[in-house]
Amino acid sequence: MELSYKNITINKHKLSFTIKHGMINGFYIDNNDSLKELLALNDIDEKKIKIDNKTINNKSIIDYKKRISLIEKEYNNIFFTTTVHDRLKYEIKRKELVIKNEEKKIVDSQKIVGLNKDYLDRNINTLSSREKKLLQFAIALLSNPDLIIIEEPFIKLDMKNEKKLFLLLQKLKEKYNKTIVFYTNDIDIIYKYCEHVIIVDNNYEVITGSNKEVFQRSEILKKHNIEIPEIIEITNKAKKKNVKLDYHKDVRDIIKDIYKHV
Amino acid sequence: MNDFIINNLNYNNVLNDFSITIKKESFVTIVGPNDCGKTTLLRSIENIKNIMTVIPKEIIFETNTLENELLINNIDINKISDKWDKRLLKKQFSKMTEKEIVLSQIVLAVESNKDVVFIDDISSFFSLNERKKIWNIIVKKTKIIVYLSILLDDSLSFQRLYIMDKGKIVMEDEPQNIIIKDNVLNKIGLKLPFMVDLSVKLQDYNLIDSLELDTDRMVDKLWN
Repeated sequence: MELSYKNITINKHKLSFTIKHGMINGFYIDNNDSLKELLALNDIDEKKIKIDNKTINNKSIIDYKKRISLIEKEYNNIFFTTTVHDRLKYEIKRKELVIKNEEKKIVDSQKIVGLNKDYLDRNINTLSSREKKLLQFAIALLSNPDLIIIEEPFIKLDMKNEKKLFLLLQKLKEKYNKTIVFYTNDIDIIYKYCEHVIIVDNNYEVITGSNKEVFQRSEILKKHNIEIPEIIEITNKAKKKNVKLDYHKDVRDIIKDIYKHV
Repeated sequence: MNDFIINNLNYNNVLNDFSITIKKESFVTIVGPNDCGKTTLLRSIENIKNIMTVIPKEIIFETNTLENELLINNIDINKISDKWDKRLLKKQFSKMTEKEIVLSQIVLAVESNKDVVFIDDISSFFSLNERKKIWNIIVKKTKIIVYLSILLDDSLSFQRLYIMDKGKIVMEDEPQNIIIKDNVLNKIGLKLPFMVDLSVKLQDYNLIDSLELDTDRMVDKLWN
């Protein structure tokens, strides 16, 4: 699913950007409350958006909305659902999903995210923040969405679980053909994990392009007052001293490179 | 006011003989990987008198503004730190962004007359720079303040760092003495802040001889 926004209004500013189909798209933006609504196609001016290169209207937008799932940064408690199974079942009802075999769907969406069957009977209040995050993914997958919007995906995850979640995102993208878009206030996360990058600065100006295009021209980021990942800064500053370091994403790789050049 | 001490606490099969001693008036952080029991620790102490816990967004304000909220909790507005953004005081809670709500929770807790304040991870609401500004304000408070997090990035702002793993405190010291132990920390699942990680590993190769957190000075040290 590819979404192109043209001159769409966020906080009185006009923005244009594209969520690329079949990619991991990353947003870096400080105030994301209005962005969330835009991406989920809530309260928007249909004339200013194209989906898969087609114009949309107030009728077709309803179908498009059904193909989108939003995963918020924190799990929101729904007081009348106690167990994981209750919560998943409730989601099917809430979204009026038409599913042949509900129980199978529930087990499957749990399995994709890496939770085993035993979790179905667990009381949600006893889940850790990591388990709650995976439950959120399972809920989002029930409707078999084409676009998954994730708010701060890696927050509150340790190193091991950050890697696991990234593998899950890749699997959803490659095996299940999903388009992923997430937003975060952590520029390192954008650099590390996104293929297509959309940065919105404090004056609501947009810097967008492939990961390389955006991060390997850091003068532009500097001009817009955007923090630059330290791993890029080291390479840039070495280049100024005529040391030919490459751009790296992992500390071990840059160390090997530094070792070669010292 | 006294030290804060927990001895051999067992709770919900998650905390196993959990013990900790936190010196009075100190500003400390407990860092641990997923499922180590941080949230369980908060839950186990949240109803104790004299302890205030801040769990982002889990709050029901009794009034409509932070100013009124401070008032009904008998907190003298003239005595709170002048570093807080004053616009926060009179703004209606209903008009606040998520960030402002969480910041209000923090102001309310650290300015309260409770002796001990536990703050759960706020990294999903504030960037590292924003968090550092908050730590700079609350470090001056004469009470025990404990921040629970999964990130080591904040720890240098604190006086003492406790590492928690599998329901126990497994290390405690001044932060600069702990964050350089990359092997142990990685094994637990914790990620070192990038410049610390780079420094420690370059020291292993004898390319530099001390911790260097500044990118300019690091490059100068390597290629001068």
